[in-house]
Amino acid sequence: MFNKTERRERFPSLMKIVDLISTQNPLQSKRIEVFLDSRDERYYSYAENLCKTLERSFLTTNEDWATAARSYNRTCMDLLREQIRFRKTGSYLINAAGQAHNDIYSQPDIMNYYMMGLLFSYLFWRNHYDILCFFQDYLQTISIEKYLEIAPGHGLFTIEALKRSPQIEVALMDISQTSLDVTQDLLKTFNADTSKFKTICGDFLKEPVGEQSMDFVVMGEVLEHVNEAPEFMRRAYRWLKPGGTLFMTTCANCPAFDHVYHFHDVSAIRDLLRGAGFEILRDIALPAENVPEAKWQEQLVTINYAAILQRK
Amino acid sequence: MDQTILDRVRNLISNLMRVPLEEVTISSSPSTITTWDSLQHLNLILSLEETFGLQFSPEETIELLNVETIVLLIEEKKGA
Repeated sequence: MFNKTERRERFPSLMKIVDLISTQNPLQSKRIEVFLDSRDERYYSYAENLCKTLERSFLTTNEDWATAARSYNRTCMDLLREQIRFRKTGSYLINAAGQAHNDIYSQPDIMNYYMMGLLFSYLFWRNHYDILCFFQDYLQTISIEKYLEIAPGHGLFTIEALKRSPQIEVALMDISQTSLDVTQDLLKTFNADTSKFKTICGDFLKEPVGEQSMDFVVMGEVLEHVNEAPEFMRRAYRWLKPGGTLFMTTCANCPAFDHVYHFHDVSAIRDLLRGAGFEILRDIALPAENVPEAKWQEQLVTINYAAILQRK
Repeated sequence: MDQTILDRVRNLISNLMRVPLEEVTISSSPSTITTWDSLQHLNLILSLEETFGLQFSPEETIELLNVETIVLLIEEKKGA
């Protein structure tokens, strides 16, 4: 635990973005303050290092930082707006992945702020940070040679995998070239040699399957963005070598302007994963609000979910 | 400004945010009410819609960040 004075002295880059976000958005200011009050050394070390890295090569001017803060706040307000809509309607805004592709994923302006906003969500949303730790902890237990990430987005998972195993062969696949470009820009920030990565711009459901070719597959926040989630997982299964593992995250009752596949509860997620053939080695389900589990469904509480799956 | 609407908004915020009524003024906002965070803002919007029998657009919901703006928009929507 660190008090405010200690935070400013020891973690200046982190506090720079916190101050900017807080100045622009009093609603977020409070949530972040409560979150920071409960964080430990591991968090502050990770968060400060991430912000320092961004400061060196991606957010080099004050205007860049202000833009990053605006991106985060805009993402939060977009989500708040959709949460309000969802509480009233019980359904997501759109129900076709193609619409999200046309309206969002192929729009550089939107993708730039959205990816930046999501990147910072891993520093300031308790559930996202806990999921990142879950991923980091699992990486310590495995060795990887061939790594495939589907829809790598902000690139944080790729970076963590490279930190653990710098020599891995990386393949990145996304339906949007715009998104892949943003990812590669962010990865370069972390000194990743992206020229060695294989990038595939294509629809995961239509691209040829590299049968049993991967040790480890990563799918962070993907299933909620596709219509054919069961088929998606069946294809992911085929990419893995026997005994290979897959890290995935998704969510239940989590409205966003580009979410189309609506899981109504965690058991529906687990059923889908097992239905695709996977064994769930470990998983976590985290409510976005402090509500008892018995009331998650009734109150339509957003549940963030992450799992380590294994091909049998 | 419609005093009845103002009083109802103040009462609603006081109950929802658990702050004394006298501390909720025309200039109250998330900066002045500690418990007014993003989750409570979501609850506030839903309560305002139910109380006043109206709907806010998605864009309006994220602009209603002080009592005065809330009251003025309700007045406008109700034609007060």
